[in-house]
Amino acid sequence: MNIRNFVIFVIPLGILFWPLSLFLANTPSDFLSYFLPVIFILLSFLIYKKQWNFYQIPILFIPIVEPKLTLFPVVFLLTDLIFGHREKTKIIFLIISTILLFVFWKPLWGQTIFIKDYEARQEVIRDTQLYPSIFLARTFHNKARIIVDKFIFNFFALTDPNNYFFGFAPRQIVNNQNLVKFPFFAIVFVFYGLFFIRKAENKKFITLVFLSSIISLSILSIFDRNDFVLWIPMALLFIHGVNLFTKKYKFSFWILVLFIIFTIPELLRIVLQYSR
Amino acid sequence: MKKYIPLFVLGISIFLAILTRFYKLGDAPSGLYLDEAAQGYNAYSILKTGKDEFGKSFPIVFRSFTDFKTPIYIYLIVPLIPIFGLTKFTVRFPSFLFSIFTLPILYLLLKEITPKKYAFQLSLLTTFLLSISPWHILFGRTNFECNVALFFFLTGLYFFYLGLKKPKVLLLSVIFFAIAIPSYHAQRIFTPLMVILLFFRHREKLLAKSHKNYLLICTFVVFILLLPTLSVAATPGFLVRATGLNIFSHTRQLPAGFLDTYSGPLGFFINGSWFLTVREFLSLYVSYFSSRNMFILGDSGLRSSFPDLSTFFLWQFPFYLYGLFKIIKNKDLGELRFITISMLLFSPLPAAVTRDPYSTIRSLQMVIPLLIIISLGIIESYQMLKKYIILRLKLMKMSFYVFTAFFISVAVVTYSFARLYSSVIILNEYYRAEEWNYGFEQIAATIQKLDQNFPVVVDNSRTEPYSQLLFFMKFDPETYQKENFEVSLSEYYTNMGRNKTKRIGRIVTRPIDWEKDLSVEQYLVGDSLSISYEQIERHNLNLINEIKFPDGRVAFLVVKTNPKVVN
Repeated sequence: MNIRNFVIFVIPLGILFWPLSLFLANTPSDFLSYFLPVIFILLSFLIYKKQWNFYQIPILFIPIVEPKLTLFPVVFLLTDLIFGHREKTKIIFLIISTILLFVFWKPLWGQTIFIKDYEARQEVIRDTQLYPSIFLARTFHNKARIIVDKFIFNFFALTDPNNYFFGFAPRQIVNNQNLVKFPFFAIVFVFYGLFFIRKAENKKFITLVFLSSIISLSILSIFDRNDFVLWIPMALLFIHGVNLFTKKYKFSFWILVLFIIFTIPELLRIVLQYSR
Repeated sequence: MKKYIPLFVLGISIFLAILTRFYKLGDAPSGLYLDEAAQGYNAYSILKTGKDEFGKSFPIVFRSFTDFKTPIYIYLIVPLIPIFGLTKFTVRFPSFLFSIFTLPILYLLLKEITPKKYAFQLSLLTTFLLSISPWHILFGRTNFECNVALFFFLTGLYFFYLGLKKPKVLLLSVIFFAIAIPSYHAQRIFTPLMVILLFFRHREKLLAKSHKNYLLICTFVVFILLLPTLSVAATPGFLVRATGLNIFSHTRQLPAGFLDTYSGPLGFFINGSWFLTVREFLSLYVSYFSSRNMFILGDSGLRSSFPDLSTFFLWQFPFYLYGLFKIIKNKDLGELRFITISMLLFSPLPAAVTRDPYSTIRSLQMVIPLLIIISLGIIESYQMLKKYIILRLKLMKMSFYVFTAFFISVAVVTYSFARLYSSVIILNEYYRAEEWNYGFEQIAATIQKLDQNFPVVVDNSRTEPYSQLLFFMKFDPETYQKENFEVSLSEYYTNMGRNKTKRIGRIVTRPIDWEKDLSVEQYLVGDSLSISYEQIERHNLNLINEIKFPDGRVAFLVVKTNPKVVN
C-alpha cells in the first residue's frame, strides 16, 4: 500500500479531534463563537500560503467576533514587525489593532487576570504574617505576584503537552472542559514536527499564531475553549511532522498503522463522551 | 592558582548543600511521618534485639505496615542511634549525608564523561545546581530512601566509567549497582535497565580480553550480593508495592478513563484496557517532561513537595529549553549525551507505571539529567550572549560582561536561597504540619506524664500512630515484640494479614468505642474527628491536653474518661 494514501487518511483523522470534541461538548451557538476566530486565522493562513500580501487583514477581525482575543492581533503584528520585514502596511495594521484594543478594552479587561482577586489578596495578607521580616514576606507575597503567578500558570498550562494529547490528564486541575484535542499518538508527530520546525514551509505563520495565542490567552482568567485558536498551529505542526516523518523513515508505515489503531477508539470515545 | 578553582567551587557547592540540608534537619518538618518513625523504630529494634518489630531477625525487606520497606536505609540508621539517639535528626541523617556525598560523585562522574570543552564548567555548574535544587533538597532533609539509592547508582556509574579503563574497578561498580537495587523500589527497574544499556553500548570493551575475566567475577559478585533480594523476590511481600500501585492491575481499580456509562458491543475499543492502559501510561510518562509540572506545580503529594516551590526554579526554564535543544542536536557531546538522554528517558519509567502523577520520589534520578541539561543551557547561553554582545554588537567589554554575568548569578542564587528558606522553613511548617504527622511527639510526652495506673487508648481510625508512639517513647523492642503478634515468622513475607490493634505497655492503639470506652476509667487520645468538644462536654470528659498545629487548628485531644459521672 502506498504510504501517501495512508497519510491522506491519517492527517484528517488527527486534526479532526479538537473541533469535533468542541462541537459535541458545546451548544452550536457557543461552538460558533469559538470557531469564528479560527476561521479568520485559517483565512489568514490561506492568504499567507498563496504568498499574497495583507495576510494580516483577517486577523484584525478577531476582536470583533471575540473581544477576549483583542490582544491577539496586536501581538501577531508586533511579532511580525519585529522578526519579519518592516513594512509600512504592518505598521498601519498594528495601529489599527491597537485602536481595536482600546475599543474593546472594557470587555477584555473584565475577563483578564488583572481584575481584583479578593481571595488571593487575603491569602497574601495571611502569608505575609508568617515571616520574620517584612522585606522577605513582601518579596514572595505581594499583589503583583498574584497577577504574575496567574499568567505563568496559564502560560505553562497552554504549553503543556498533556493539555493537547491527554486532556490535561493525569493532573486535571485547570478550570477547563478537558477536551480531547489531539489523539495521544499524535504526540510523536507533533514533537517531531516541532523539533524540525526550521524545515517547515509555514514556520513563520505557525510561530506567529502560536506566540500570539499563548500570550493573549495567558492574560485571560479562564482561557478554556478560547484556546481553540491554537488548533491551527498545532494542526500545522502535526501535518508537518507526519509529512517529514513518513518521508524520512521506512518503518513509518507501521507507526501510521499504530496511530490508526489507537486513534479510532479515541474517536469513538469522543462521540460517546461528548454527544448529548 | 587556576587548579584550585574547581576545588573552591566544589567546596562552595558542598557548603551550600550542607547549609540547605542540615539547617533544622531534625526540626523542619517538625512532625515525623509514620514511615520515618517506623524506619527509625525498626532500626532501634534491630540494634537492641537483632530483630524487627515483628521479631524477624535481620529482614531482607521490612514488613512494617505490610508495605515491605526497603532495607538499606533502615540498616544505615542502626549505627547512628548509639551516636545521636533515637531522634528525628537521626532518621533523617542518612538521607542528608548521602545527598551531600552525591555532589562530589556527580562532579567526578561528569568530569569523566563530559567532552573536554565542557568538562570543567559543566561538572562544576551541575554540582552547584544540585546543591540548591529544591527537588534534591527535599529528599535530603527528610527520610526518603530514594536519595540514598541515587547516590549508590551514581557511584556505580562513576566506577563503571573508570572500570572501562581499569577493569579492576568494575568490581566496585557492580557492588554499588547491587546496593542501589534493593535501596529503593524504583531502582529495581531503573538500575538494571541502565546496566543493560551500558553493557550494550560498551560491549566491545567489556567483552575484550582485558575485561572478560573481571566481567565474569563481577557477574558472580553481583549474584552473591543480590542473592538475599532474589530469595524473596517472588514473595507477595516483595511485590506488594508493585502490584498495589501499578496501572496494569485493574483488580482494585478500573483503568483511568473507563466510561462506565457505556456497555455496548464496542466495549473492546471504547473501554479496552489495552487502549486505556497505554494511554494512561503515556500520559503519566509525558507528565515527567511537562514544564508545567517541573517549574510550576511540582509533585502533588504534600510531603514530596514544598509549598510555593516546584521541583526547579522558574528562572531555570529558558535554560532547560535551550539545553534540551542543544543536548539533542549536539552529537559531539558523546558519553555525556548518551547518559543524559538515557537517564532522562529511563528515569520516569518506574514512576510512570504507578498511578500517582509526577511522583518526584520515584523519579528522583531524573534530577541529574535535567540539571545537566539546565547547566548546558546556561553555559551555551553565556557563550552565545558573549558572542552576540561583545563581538557583534560590541556593547560592552569582556571584563564588564563577566562582571555582569557574575552579578546576575549572585542575585539569582540569593533569590533562590531566600525562596528555599521561605518554602522549606516558613510555609512548609505552617501549611504542611498535618501531612508530616505533627503532634505525636507531644502526645508521647503527655502520655508519659499521665497517671501510670490507667490505660490509654490512642485512636487509629485514620492513621497508624503506633510507630510514632514507639519511636518517641523509645519503647523497649523486646517487650513490644512479645506483646504483639501479627503473623508467624514463617509467613513474614507471604501473609498480608494485618493486626491493627497494637499494645505498647498500657497503651493500646485501636478505634475509640464510645459505648464501651466511657465505662472504663482511662485516657483517650484522638484527632479532632475522633474526639470533639461536644463529646467532651456530653460525656463529662476531662480535657488533659490540646495539641494544636502551627496554624492553630486542633491536631489531637487527650482526655480522661469519667465513668462514675457518666453512670
